[in-house]
Amino acid sequence: MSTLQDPGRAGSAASGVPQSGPMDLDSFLLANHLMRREPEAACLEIYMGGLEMIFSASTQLVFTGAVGKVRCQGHLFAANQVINVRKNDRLTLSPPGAGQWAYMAINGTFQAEKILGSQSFYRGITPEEKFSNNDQLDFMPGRRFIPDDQARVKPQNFPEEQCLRAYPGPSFSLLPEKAQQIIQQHAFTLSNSQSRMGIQLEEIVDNDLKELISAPVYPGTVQLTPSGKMIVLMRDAQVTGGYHRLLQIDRASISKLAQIRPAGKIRFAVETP
Amino acid sequence: MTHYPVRYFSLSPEIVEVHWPDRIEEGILFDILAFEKMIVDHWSDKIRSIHHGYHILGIELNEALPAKHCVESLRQLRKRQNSSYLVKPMEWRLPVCYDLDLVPELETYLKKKGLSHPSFVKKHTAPAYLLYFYGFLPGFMYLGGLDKDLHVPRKSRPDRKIEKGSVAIGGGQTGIYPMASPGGWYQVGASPVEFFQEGKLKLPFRPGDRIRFEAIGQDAYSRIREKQSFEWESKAYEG
Repeated sequence: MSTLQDPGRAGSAASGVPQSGPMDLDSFLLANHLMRREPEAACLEIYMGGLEMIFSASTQLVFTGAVGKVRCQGHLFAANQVINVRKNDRLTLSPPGAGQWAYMAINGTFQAEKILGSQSFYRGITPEEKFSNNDQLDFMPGRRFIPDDQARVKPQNFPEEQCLRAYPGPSFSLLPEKAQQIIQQHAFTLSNSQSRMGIQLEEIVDNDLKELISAPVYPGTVQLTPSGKMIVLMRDAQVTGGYHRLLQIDRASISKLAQIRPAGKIRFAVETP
Repeated sequence: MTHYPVRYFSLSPEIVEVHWPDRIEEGILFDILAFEKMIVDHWSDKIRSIHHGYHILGIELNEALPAKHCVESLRQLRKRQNSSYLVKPMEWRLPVCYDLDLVPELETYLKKKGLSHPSFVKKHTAPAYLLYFYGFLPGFMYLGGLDKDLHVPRKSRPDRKIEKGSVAIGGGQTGIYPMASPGGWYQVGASPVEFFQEGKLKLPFRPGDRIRFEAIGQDAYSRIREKQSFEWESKAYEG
């Protein structure tokens, strides 16, 4: 699956519009940095590689994040490396060995309408929710050629177990002491139920918390459902929710979490903000 | 206007919240809206996003701030809150077709509730529903004021698709689906009005406003659907 993503439309939360934006913000920002673009420039976000592109004009590219093998006209390229492509070149990106989300910045500007201040794809807001086979993505070429620097940023590591920085949500103190300890001390497993909206965890946190009225939620909010499932909300999360809010993980931890595959583990380092 | 006691809560270094007493109440909504307006006026450059539920106002900041500092500033601001920040609500008419041909599921709902069609339409169109906030979907309104006689438990098995424009009831709530979505509510009506124009979300109503459903026939429904735009009728809400 691939979409266009820029930092998103945080300002429209009051209309019920999700923020959207890159799942791994850090890799997204690195792509723009390496391409000497402003941090708000839209990049192509690619889930689990497996993509072929044909270029109808010469340009320069860089891939960051969870990048598999990049092949272009018989040459192999690495993540974080400026790649020169020529007209009619065919480029393939294979699935990554670790991590899930990759970003492609281009020397130029992707042409897609800004809606509510953002080019990030979202169902119902933008004409497309994801790219389909044979889609054409237009770009306006940049004016400057980016020299391929000698010094290269090393490709990132994507461990399958990560410690996330978290802060107690309003419902954390309502849990029994035992459950609070479990959340702070145990590792939790990512389930198969993952999307740009949220990631469900496998373990159950028993609770008899009462029902709530809807309250604001944000990317990084850890919700607890009545059945005891924990859900970490991600970039396309709804703006309000009726579940208990146990924790809020910080922005850097959202990026780390995004790259962990199902069956990977997380721990919460809970501190006061 | 009631000035409720509030608590400040730092959810993270980037998110600070103001908590009102946890109940659904018009007075709380208007107090939230006034404080929200005041915060936006004073802090617009610091705010990444601001939105609220029934009793919580959430502010996401552009930069991580020391929470203590932020809470203290909010406390000072709250002291200076006065009636000049009170929002002035409008009342809007929203056409809804309740014809059984167009909305076959209404039949199921009426049977379940043991209600006649005319008495249902009368009860559903009587209130001026209060818009608390948008959530769940882009442009989905959380409306207060549904007649108790019309409450119905949500379906245990959600439908895969509730069509755009559906007016639906779930639990003690009623609302309109601005776009197609899965959901566990009963469809009881269809509104011909588009919340998206040329693909862009156009929401004339703001939290605090009142929405009245106006029953229309299928002819009017089709006529409005064919038109590209809809002339909203509104007036100041007098209560």
